[in-house]
Amino acid sequence: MQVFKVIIKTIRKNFHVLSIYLIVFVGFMVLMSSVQSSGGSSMFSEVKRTVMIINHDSGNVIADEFADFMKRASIPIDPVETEEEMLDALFNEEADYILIIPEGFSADFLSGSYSNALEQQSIAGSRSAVWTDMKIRKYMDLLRLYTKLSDVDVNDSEAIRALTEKVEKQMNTETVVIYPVGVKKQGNEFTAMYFKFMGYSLMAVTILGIGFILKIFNGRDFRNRLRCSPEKTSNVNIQLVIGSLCFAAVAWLVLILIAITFSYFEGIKPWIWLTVVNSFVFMLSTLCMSVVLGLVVKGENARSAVANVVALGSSFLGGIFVPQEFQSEIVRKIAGFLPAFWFVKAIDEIQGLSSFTWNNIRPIMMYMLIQLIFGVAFICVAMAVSRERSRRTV
Amino acid sequence: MVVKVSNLVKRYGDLIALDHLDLEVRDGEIFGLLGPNGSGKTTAINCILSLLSIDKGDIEVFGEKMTPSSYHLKRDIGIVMQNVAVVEELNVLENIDFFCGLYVNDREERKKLVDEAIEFVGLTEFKKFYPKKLSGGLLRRLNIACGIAHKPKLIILDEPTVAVDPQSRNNILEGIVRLNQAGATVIYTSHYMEEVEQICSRICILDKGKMIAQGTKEELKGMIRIGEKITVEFLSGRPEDAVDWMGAMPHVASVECKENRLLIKTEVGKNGLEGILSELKKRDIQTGLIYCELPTLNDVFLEITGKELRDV
Amino acid sequence: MFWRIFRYRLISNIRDVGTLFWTLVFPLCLATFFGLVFPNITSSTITFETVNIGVYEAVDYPGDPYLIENLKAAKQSENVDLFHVTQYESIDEAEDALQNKEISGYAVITDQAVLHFSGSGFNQTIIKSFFDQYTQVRSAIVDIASENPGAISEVASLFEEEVEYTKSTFAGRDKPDSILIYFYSLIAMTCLYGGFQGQKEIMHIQANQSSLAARQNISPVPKLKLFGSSILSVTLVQYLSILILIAYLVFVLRINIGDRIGMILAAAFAGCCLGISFGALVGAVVKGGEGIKVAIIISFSMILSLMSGMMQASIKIAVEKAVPAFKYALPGNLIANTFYAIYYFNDNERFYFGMALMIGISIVLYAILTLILRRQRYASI
Ligand SMILES: Nc1ncnc2c1ncn2[C@@H]1O[C@H](COP(=O)(O)OP(=O)(O)OP(=O)(O)O)[C@@H](O)[C@H]1O
Ligand SMILES: [Mg+2]
Repeated sequence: MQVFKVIIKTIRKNFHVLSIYLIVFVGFMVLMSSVQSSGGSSMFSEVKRTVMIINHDSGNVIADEFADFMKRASIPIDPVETEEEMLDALFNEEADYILIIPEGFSADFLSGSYSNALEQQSIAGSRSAVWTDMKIRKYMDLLRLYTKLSDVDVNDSEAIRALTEKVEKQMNTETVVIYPVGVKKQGNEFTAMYFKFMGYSLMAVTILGIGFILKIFNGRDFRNRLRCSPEKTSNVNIQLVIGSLCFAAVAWLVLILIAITFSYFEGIKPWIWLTVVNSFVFMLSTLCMSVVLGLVVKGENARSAVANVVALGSSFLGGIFVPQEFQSEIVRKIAGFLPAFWFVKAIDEIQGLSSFTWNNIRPIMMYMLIQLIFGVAFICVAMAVSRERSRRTV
Repeated sequence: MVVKVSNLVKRYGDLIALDHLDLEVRDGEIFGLLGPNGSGKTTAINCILSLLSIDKGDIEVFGEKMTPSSYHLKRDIGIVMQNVAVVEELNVLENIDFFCGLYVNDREERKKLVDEAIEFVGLTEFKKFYPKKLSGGLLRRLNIACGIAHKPKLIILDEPTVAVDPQSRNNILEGIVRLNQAGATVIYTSHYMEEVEQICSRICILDKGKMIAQGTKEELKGMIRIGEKITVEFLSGRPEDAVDWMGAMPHVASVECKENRLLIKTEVGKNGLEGILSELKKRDIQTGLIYCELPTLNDVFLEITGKELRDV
Repeated sequence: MFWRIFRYRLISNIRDVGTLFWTLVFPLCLATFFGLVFPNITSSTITFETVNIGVYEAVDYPGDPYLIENLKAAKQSENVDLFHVTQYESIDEAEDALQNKEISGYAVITDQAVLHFSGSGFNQTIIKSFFDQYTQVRSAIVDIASENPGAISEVASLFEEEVEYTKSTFAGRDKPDSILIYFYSLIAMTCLYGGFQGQKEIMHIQANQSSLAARQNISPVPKLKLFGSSILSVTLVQYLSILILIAYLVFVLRINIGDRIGMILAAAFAGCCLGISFGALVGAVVKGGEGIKVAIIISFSMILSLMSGMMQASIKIAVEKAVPAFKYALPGNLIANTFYAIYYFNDNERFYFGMALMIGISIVLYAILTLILRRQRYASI
């Protein structure tokens, strides 16, 4: 039990370093739960863009009807007051497009000057700009057609309203789309995000913690003293393994409890338990990786450096922070060599499950298996390294 | 008077680290500050240097009151601290130059001083080494070089020779004596009384923050009743039996028995060995080893505090 | 004296690989990760690319001869076509092309157009939009003709001229790009990691924190002089680290952070001072060992980087939305937003405000530090 006690003491002594990652984790949770997310859909649906519509010509039929149409056609964003806020909204992608209907727009339109009558702010040449421009053009072309070709009295708002209604009616004509009916992902993105982020904290904490433990037990003095002590080497090693496992498991448990607590506010879905299993598997492979790193890397500073680089690197490349679907092919290929990649892939898959049939679960099992294989590979490396070590030092 | 400390009191919370301490260090002497671990030597030095706030008392250096901003006084003080204080990222040469540079502005002069200091501690071969790569003893020597390179008038050394091997230690001690002969006043702190006895002209013994004795080593030894310490090994007869009659002899201050040996302390000024030998012969006691020692500072300490200096 | 201490502190700081790892190597590693991950992350800022579309015209139906012409003629901008049209001989061919992802969808044109897609995405939306519009205009013409047959002759002339209904009043200096949030946040983190350097320097000066400091306090060099030269050297090292990071972002990763180099240099310097002074204050004020102080600095910088969007840009946006003052009150966001202002705003008000705040805070922190450092005797060391 001696060894075990030393492990506990070591961890307690270095707790303040480990707690940093706990704080960051909780901080992330709190912040994320205040951020909005959007759900998926199951039919062919047009991609919609966020448009901020600022109507300075309200009270006039054309401007109002047009603004209404744009609101229905896009994801409308609440208008802001200042130029600065508009720029912020564009930069932060809260609004993809800002459409400003200037004062007197309706009157100008009717008098025939429509060219450059509207003001817009967007990212020139971007998809969103193309999309929104098309929507505007669609409406304006029709409206122009109607106003030009049917003589209406410019001052007769009733007649104008009749025109806009006609335009609206035409707008309902849609092209027929043939679209394969597929299984669509229905997910709880937040919970998935929590569990993914947990992977980051788990990596950081485990690599550091195992580093602390191995530092003590691999110090030559300590090793030699152990050799001279009545405890058997195999006994020591078993205690070491169990101790490390316990540490990693406790870290895992703490993090998983936090993640589940936060998910609770989102509503717990049955698949969450599969995610828990997945994260446990990931913990095992991380533990094995930590052992390798702990054996290879020397020095306090270097260890914490490596812990951070590996944890953050795996997280960025593996898709913990940034969804895998956004990554380029090459990055995804590279990331395949990281357990974190498969950990995230499994979560994505689990999140998209429509039912728990074997066929659906099989790929998830595969991903977990890959993580375990990584673990075994790490263990082999660790054993090779430590054998090499002990041959050299005694 | 180079340093004058009067009535100094320093507390760490409830612990009284220095208890009404009075010290006087005269110009040109090597002043030894001797005491067991935790007796307050380092604390006393830090107070003298104005690093620590004090609760009571006056401290004068070179006849002036010492304050943290007495830069003109600090310029003439060299310090070798108990904890090694060197810059990790600088090599031996740069370290010494850095510390010397805090005192000496002229580049040429500094170069000369640095070379001398390296010579002095014998680190010539290690000039380009970084502190991390130096052994404990070499590091200590670097620490010393950093402290004395600028040829200060007052040198304070706080246990400079810990972990230094005997030969280098002797070199350092000789060096200190040389510095002293060249005009520097030295305050030397140690719990090795042999060192202190060897080089110090005046000694102050501290215990639990109190000064228990101060003076030249002769004066100190004069303060106790012991003149000589005689050890007699008994080959026949039981030494226990001898304790009584031996104690009754004139000039014998105390008798103690350890296994088959008798430890006898005689009074100052009287040569007791002869009397003891003849008495032993008279009683027909066969003796083996007999030797006679002069009292050490340890005896002084033992006499005054009732405990050994060595094994505190 | 001042410059000699400065020189030696500079040498030490450059050789202190442990700290440089955090202030230089680590940010460079992160920048590399960002560079790998982010090139095509958000969909809305992606530049529009011509959509590949297939068309199959039913043989038995002559169709509208203009439809395909119109498809081909449609333009996104002067140089970019909206569609690249491929005509297929049979539906099967078109279906194959769709499955092979050669085209985003195909239209089967009989008396009406029917669109075939294999997924719903942006390109499909554009295709559908086009066809919707096409049918709607045609149906509108029919509608109008039924009421006012004479008007039909004008239709052609109406569509002769391409009308641009909107004009851009975008007032930003440069293209909005939310990816930059990540990189600004990275710069902010690097600035804040300067805290390690500040803390280290304080440890070398406060006699109760290290024996080296105690030793220097006994020398005839006034403490503030020691402090000044140390901080100056560490600021230089940290500033260089930040500049290396920025150079790496600009020249290696090809991130556009704006062309106002003077302002970028100034903001980097102000951020650098902010980070160092923050760390120095932690070093001077917080009781406890070096471990605790480093832990505090790491936690703070991590949380502040998180808030400034390092791991999720949406976090920054949400945080600033919830409490607008956080734009400037959180040091990480303050630094990030100053860089953002340089890149994005023609009006320099934000930039100057950010700069003034960063410098102001640094000055206040240094003033507090000076007061603390003036104390020269310690109750215990
Ligand atoms: N910073 C401190 N806070 C509290 N107590 C202290 C502090 N420094 C020293 N002490 C206590 O003050 C007493 C004197 O310590 P000091 O370091 O002066 O002893 P010393 O004579 O130099 O011993 P050594 O031979 O071990 O160097 C000791 O009891 C020590 O425990
Ligand atoms: Mg001491």
